[in-house]
Amino acid sequence: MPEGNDSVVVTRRLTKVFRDFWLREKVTAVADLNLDIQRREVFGLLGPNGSGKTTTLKMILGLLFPTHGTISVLGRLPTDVRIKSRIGFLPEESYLYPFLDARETLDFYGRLFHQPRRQRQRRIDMLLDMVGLSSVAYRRVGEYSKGMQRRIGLAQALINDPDLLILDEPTGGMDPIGTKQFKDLIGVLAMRGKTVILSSHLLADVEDVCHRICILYGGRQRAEGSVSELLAKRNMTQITTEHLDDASLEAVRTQLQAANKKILDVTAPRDKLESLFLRIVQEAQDQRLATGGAIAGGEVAEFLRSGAPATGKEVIEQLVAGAAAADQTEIPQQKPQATHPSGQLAEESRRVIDSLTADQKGKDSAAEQAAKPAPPPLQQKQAEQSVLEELLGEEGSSGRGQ
Amino acid sequence: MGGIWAVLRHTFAHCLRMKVGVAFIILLVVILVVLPLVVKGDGTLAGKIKTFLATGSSLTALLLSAVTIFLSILVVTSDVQHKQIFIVASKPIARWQYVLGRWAGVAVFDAVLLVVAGGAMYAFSQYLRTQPALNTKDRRMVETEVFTARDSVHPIPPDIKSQAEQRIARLKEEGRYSRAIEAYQMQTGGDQARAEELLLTQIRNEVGAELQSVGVGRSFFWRLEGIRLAKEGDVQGSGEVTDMNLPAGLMRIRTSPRLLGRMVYDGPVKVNGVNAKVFALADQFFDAYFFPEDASLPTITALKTASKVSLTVDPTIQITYQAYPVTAPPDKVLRSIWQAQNPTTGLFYQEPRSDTARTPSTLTLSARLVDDKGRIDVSYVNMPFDASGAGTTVTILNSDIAVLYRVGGFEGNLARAMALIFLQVMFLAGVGVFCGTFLSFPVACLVTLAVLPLGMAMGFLTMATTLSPIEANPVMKQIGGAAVWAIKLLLPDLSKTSPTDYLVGGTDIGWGFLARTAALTIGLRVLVVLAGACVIFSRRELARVQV
Repeated sequence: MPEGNDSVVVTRRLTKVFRDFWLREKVTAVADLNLDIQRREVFGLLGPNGSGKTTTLKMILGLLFPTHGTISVLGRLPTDVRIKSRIGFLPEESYLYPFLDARETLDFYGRLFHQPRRQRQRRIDMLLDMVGLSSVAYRRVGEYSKGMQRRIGLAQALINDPDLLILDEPTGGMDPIGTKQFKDLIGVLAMRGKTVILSSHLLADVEDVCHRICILYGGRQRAEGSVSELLAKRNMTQITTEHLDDASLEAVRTQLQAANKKILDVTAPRDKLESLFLRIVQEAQDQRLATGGAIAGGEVAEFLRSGAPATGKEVIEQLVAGAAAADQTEIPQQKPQATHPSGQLAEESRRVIDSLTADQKGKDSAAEQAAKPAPPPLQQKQAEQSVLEELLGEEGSSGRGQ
Repeated sequence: MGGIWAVLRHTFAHCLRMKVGVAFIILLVVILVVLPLVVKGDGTLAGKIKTFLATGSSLTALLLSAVTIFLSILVVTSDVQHKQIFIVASKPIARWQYVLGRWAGVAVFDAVLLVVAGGAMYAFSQYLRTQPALNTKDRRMVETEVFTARDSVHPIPPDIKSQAEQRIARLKEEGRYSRAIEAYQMQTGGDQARAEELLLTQIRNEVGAELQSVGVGRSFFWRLEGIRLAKEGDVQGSGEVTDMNLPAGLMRIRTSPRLLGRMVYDGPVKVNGVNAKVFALADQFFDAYFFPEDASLPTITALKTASKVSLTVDPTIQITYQAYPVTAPPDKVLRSIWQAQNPTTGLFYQEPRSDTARTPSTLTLSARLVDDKGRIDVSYVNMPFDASGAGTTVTILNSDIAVLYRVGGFEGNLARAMALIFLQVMFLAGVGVFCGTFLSFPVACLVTLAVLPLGMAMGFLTMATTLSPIEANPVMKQIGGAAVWAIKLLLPDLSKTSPTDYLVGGTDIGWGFLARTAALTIGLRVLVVLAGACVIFSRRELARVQV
């Protein structure tokens, strides 16, 4: 694995062996791990419990020392204090001081970055607003729910506007609103050229936000690559359209039969539970119903957005517009270096449809054995709409007119 | 420095919000409030105040030490145990900065607690000071022996060494030396060098006893030098004339107990600037005696009953001593006459005394008996038990006689006493943080707690290791010597730096002593333990296996 100039984290044959009191080898937590995480990349570490994800992150942070192998973080050793000012870390649980309130917590961590008072206070205000804790900023963190603690934990990880954000199980304990905003935030940070390392059990989260993933098992690297490469099902095509009447459906079926293809399943698309939940909560907040807990956070803090490309601004505006409109959100697929997984999927979808309409000779019937496909990611909608129109032609248009 | 400051502030907030500090203050104040109500001491007001100061300062030091040990360990081990250190260590702060910040935070918290404790002690001691004294002597003790800061000088020690050598030379001339050595060689198994050492020790003891003992009807003489009286000099106040008999040269004046406490019977006092002598002393007033030429001065003759007068009292000095009779007197009381004289002016003072044998006694004198060069001549006449002339030889060791003189006020001394406690707890905080960097909370507490009694017993340990040199083989002797040296160097002698004896004895805690203690405590001991803590904390893994 070549180490480029843009490498943020590089590990070579990274191994961690835990020993007992008598220095007998107890367990090998990580073995011969080679990673090369690039700038602007959202990198996911996946694996079952005890697979070595957290141990790897702790070694990257200098909390654990490798038994063998090397780590380079931002070009230096993980224990080098100079790199810490460019790192943000959210641990698997919110290891915060329960006797401090949210504002004091952020103030303390801000001071560790030697931030001037005015800048610190401004960032604290923005972060508290972003994570939806402004109204409870003076309550002690020890009185917060787990989800609220995760939010303040996230805020502390971002107070220095880090170049490298390390997130260990970041959405654990968060409500769907927080999870959604969290994933949106990662998208924004990635667009600004930040590097994010994410460890999670929640595969949907990883799939939604990560460019590349590494799957660990027993401390060893089992698979590594881009999400699209690892998840692509090249023998099936999924099309989502507006409601089709029987005639339109028959026309599609005929068209596909002509191409020697079968329709395996026809259902009305369902809303995602996440979207429904977000819409209901947004409505409640619009009605200003009282709550003692966290509210949906505000827009991404200004200092975390500054310098983002114009497309990033659009994304933020869409986020601010409310979670209820999430279904309508369209995230441009502009990626300076790494390609966002949803963009790759849209491209893939277009390529498949193109080949489908061009090549009338079907080759594969394996799709019959496939399971019921999941609803497509929101970001694919525009691409798929154009594909459908292209596929249906005039008949499709008349169908919509009925 | 920013990182250390941030951790310091955080540690202070941590300590404050754990309620430990509040609990400490409440406990201390309750004790200090209750103490003055329940302590009795020896029945005198001075004894009561001394007991209060002794208990208050000891409790403050003890409670604060316990709080410091608990907090200094907790602020480090809690971070590791509850994993808050994961986030802190991911921020741009070096681990040595974290360690220093934790220590400094606890130290600042201690300083705040000490200010509160010291303030409470001062307030309650001042309250006790206003209480009625048992008698004039009691009041004098309160004012001149408790609410003061005194330094002391001892007489120049007798030259025991040269006199012992002379005696040995005489033994050799008389041909008795070799026989004496032969006798000791029977005890030492033929070791001549050891036998000579034992003989020399015995002769020195004999000479010492002779030079520091006096027979019946005979007297000791000491010249004490180096007395540096406080520059503030006279004590001034005011009073009210309650009665007068000027033809007899007498005037009764009511004044404050504070001023009365500083007067000495037959000592000088100035009334409206006119010289007089203290003729009688009571709890609320004194009688001034004017010589005829002074009694006829207009400033005195113009005075009437209820007239206000200004008073000036000379500062006083004390001679403390402890006498050991060879034969116990029948009533356990030793009779003597103490005489003191200013070597330059010839001013003379004499006082017959009856003191309990083997008990520390104090004689209060006018500071005018000390000349400008800081010298005073003192003599002790050993008087018989009764008119029959029977008596006993009395020994007063050189170390048991001293002149104490005021060099400062109680307030400054109390502040320095608190500073001594502060140095003690800063050291304990350093040890606590050090142990917390690699031990769990209970183990670290146990280890740090062990340091406290060890430090308190350092005086004994030092004496024990001095008296009983290791007689093992040379290698073991070297190792043992090095270990003892290291322990002495790293462990403060808390028995010497305890402020209790200073406060109770009204003894000045000198700035020089304080500076030396601070240099050794902060500049050496705390530095060493914190350096160790920084090295260990920087090299340890902060996370643990979770696979």
